[in-house]
Amino acid sequence: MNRVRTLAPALIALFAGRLSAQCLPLRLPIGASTRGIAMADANTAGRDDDVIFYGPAQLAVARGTSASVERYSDRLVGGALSTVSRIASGAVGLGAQIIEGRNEPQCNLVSVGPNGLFVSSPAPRDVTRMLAVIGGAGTFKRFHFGASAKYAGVQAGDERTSRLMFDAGVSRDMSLADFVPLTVAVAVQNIGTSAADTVQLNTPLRAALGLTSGGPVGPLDLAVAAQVAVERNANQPLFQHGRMIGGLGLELGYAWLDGYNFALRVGERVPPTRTDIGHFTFGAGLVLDRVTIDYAGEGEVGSRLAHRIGIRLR
Amino acid sequence: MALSLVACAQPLKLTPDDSRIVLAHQLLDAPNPADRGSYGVKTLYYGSGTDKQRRYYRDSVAIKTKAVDASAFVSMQPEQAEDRKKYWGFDAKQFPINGRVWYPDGAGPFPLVLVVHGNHNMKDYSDPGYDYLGEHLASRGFILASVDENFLNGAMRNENDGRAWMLLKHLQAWRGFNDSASSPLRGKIDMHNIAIMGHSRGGEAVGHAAAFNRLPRYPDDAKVKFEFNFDIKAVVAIAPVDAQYKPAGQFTPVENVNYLVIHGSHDGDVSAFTGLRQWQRVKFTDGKPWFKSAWYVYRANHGQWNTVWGSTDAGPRSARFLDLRGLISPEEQRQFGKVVIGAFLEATLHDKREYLPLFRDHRVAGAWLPKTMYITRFQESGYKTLANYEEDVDVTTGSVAGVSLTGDSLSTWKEDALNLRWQNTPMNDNAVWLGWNRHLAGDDTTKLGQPATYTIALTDSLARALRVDRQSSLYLSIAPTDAKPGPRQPARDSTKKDSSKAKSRPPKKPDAKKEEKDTTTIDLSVEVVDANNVTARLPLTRYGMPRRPLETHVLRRADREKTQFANTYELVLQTYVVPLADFVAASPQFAPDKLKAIRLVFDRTLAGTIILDDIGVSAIDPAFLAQARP
Repeated sequence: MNRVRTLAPALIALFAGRLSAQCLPLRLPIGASTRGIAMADANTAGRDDDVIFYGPAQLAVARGTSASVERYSDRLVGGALSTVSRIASGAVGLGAQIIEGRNEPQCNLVSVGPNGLFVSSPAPRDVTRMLAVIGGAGTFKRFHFGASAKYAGVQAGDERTSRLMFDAGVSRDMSLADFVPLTVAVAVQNIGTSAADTVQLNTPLRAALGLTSGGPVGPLDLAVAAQVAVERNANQPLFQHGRMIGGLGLELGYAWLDGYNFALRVGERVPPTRTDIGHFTFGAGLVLDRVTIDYAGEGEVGSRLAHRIGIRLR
Repeated sequence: MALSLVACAQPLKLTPDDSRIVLAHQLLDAPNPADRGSYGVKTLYYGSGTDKQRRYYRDSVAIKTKAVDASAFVSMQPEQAEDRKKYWGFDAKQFPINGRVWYPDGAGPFPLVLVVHGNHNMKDYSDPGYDYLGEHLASRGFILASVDENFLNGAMRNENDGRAWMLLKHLQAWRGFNDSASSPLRGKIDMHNIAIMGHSRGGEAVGHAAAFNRLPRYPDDAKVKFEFNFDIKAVVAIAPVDAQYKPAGQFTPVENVNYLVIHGSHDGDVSAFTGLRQWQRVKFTDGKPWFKSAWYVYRANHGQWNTVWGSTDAGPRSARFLDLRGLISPEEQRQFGKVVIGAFLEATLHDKREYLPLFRDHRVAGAWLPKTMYITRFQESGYKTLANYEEDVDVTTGSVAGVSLTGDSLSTWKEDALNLRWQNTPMNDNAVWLGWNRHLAGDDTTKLGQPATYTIALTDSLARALRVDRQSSLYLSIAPTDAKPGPRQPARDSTKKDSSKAKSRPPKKPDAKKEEKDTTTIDLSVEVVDANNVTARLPLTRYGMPRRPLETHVLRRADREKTQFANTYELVLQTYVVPLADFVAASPQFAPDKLKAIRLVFDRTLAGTIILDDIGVSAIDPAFLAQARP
């Protein structure tokens, strides 16, 4: 029985997501960075303000303010806002994310009844997930340390679930073979979450290791972002029964004038847990001095594509 | 969108080149100092023999040297020190004395020239970049050693005293090379004829080295003793920075050396002629024949004087923000280096006096110099100041007792501080601004007033004390500006009633054409007056080209250029040396020994503004005056 209860969220997600293409996935997507998503959402070691959604340590070096919106399907859209400001030798950041979706009337949720049998019930018509994050980071002996507090909530029909959680992280800039810059960041996210939150809020306890690197390739600039993460499965110990996910993204940019450049991005990843999001990502970015316009595409189940557009001011 | 993509990039803007006229003549009758000399050239390395990164200084050293403890001069954060030690294999307590040498294949002794690079990526080694100078100078009978200070490069601050001290430690090593029986250089080195040369931060460091050389102790820590006292005869600063290190909190004073500073207008790293400040501070106090020379080279950059550094002054990707289109070629820039540095070293270390006129008036070497525009400053040890505008805020007094200053019909007459164009950094130098316009205000635009004048008058006793005679020369340093004063108000007849108000018309709207930049060539007359009121007058252009400011845009983006630079030009004054004998030739009754006044008469250009500084007289060595332009 315990085993069934443990596996129930996974089974529910599996069934719920497949009942109809017009039904929302059980877990709503969490990607919040347009550039990051285009590069496999491997953004733990990112340097833009929206890194606040991925781990707080890199806030110490992040700059700017950004806003983005994503259309996953005609029934699911999301958006994010984030900003970072320097304070003394550190930085503070704020972030907010919202995703809204609507189920068709025939959509059902499958849950495990008291007798251990699956029970189908109508899915809530409207689902909204909100996230607000405040974080700060500082530098000590070349290590960046960061912490953030976040409040996540889901309104599913008349039912509301919310939770206050915390992220912590550490990162450091170093170099590979003395020449190639390398940033390594580690983040532990959603400290204080629960097994129920894992499904409803999509906030599993998560540990991530992110790397970014890059350098000139002829007249172009190459950037690489990689990430491995493990997410806790329900209440199981994180590293014993966690789900390993990873991603690798590449960016090739060309700057024709200081402050002006164009970049193309691709990414390949283990798809996010129990969403309709696929493994392949791509995108492009255009930097016009202090303004950056980014686009990201994410493959979804079937041949659908999710499109995200972001703007960043520095 | 397309507009925004290109909006910030500015078109190439350069001052029209006049070098075909200015450099049309070759008057110096001497071998081109840029031509290869008669000596065969040999090379060797000296160093620790243990260098972890530099195989030349590990496997190929002909002379082994001992490391030195530079920790008193170099401070780093512990993490930085740790990283550097990991890379280099040593810390500041064990800095190696490494150098690459080009020397003549001959018995010697030969003058010794040390050159030290400046700051750059520490892993992109800078010391091989003076190979062209090494080959060239060795063929002409100099020993050149390019000193390795790459371990002081990278993200270091306030270490230029360390660079200077290292240079002097190299000279100590060279003393040993000359004396050691096992040295391949034994007896070949003329330790009484030494030049030190530095580029960028190294250019600042050579000034400190010249100062440290004569000090008994380190100014910032008297526990550190200095025992150098080398015969440094010449100092060359290539595109130097200034005052990143200040001994005892003061600007470095340098005395009694020949000093040369060169700087490119399009320097993308040290984008202001900061070396002029050190040039101003070089003093000649011991009565020996020294001179100093400054060259502002239009369209030259920072790095092309070093073959490793090249055209991208701020790193390999700096072409994205530096406008490189206006640069002269690397070959031209290095040719300039060979001519001017070569001539300077020939004159100061080989005592080849035939090259001296080049530093008084660069137009005498039109065939040698690459065809671009130059502004040059010059002073030699015979120079005596009459007015340099440093002494007080009284615009009517000169810099020594017995000098009075008067202006007549000037539209502008003010003293002010000169600033460098990079963020208005002070030049630490004052000058006078003189503006004039001979047009009289009114409807008749053909009406001209008397030429404006500016007079430097000397008392009899001062004239006698200065011992001015026919062999003396007059010094002026002048830079025309773009400012053009409006028409002169006619002199009022104070005996008549003021009826101007009744008859006055409303002021005219400014004519759009008047806003256009005035590019008329500026010229004026230099007049001298003796005690008998005999005057003699010569045109300034005979002694140099008074150019309007040279338009300089270093960055590709106009908005960033505007943020970083106060002006689109550097105010560099041109020195004019006018022999009094020329006035006698123009007016034989003029008696130089009775000089009473020097007058600038603004009669050759109808309107304009100049900046004037360093007015003086000198019993100049006649060698400087040889082969003057007719």
